[in-house]
Amino acid sequence: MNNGIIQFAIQALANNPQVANTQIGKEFMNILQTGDYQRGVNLANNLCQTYGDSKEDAIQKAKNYFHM
Amino acid sequence: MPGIQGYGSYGNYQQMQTGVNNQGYGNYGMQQGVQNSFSSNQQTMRIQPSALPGRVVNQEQDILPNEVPMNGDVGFFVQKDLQKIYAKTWGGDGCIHTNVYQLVSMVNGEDQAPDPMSVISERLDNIEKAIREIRRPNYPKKNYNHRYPNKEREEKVDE
Repeated sequence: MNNGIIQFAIQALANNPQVANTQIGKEFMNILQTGDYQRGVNLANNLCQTYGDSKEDAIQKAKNYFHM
Repeated sequence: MPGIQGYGSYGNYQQMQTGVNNQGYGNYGMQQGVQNSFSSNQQTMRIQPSALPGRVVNQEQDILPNEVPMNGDVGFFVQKDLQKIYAKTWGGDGCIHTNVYQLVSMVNGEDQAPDPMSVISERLDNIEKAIREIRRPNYPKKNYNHRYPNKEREEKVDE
């Protein structure tokens, strides 16, 4: 994954300790720091499934959120 | 000075008071007096209880993922008929974890729900009785070999 995006995500989490201290936040931070791609994919898939979104919808929502 | 929200900030509120007066809790009466003299310059401080996240739902399926707090708190969703309470929280795996609390009606401090073991043993007794009944020598036997009664009937008609 793009190193810039990883650094951005780590920084965003670090700036929001309320989110970073949650179970999911800690897991996400751990994935970003270790670079465990497969765990990241599993987490993303679980989130999509829980929200009832497809992978494509989720990516589009994320892009919209970050004005990409 | 902004109003203090929730009980979580109450500790800071007390610390701030101590800092202003340079006194410990031992001189609480004097602390109050000093505080009153400052009260005209201060905004009213209200300590509001934090609201419990969640709502009343008809069934579990009505709970949307967006309603479960992402900040690590547990969302409590009370079923409308008060039979169950769903406690939902986000797990580290990206799934929502649910604990269900079920109603146990109590009368005079005693549990009114039937003992699960007695329910099971009652059902076992019923099965045992049924088996005994079937094994009785004069139990009317049914012919289960007629697997295709309609077909046989048709054959008879053909003859």
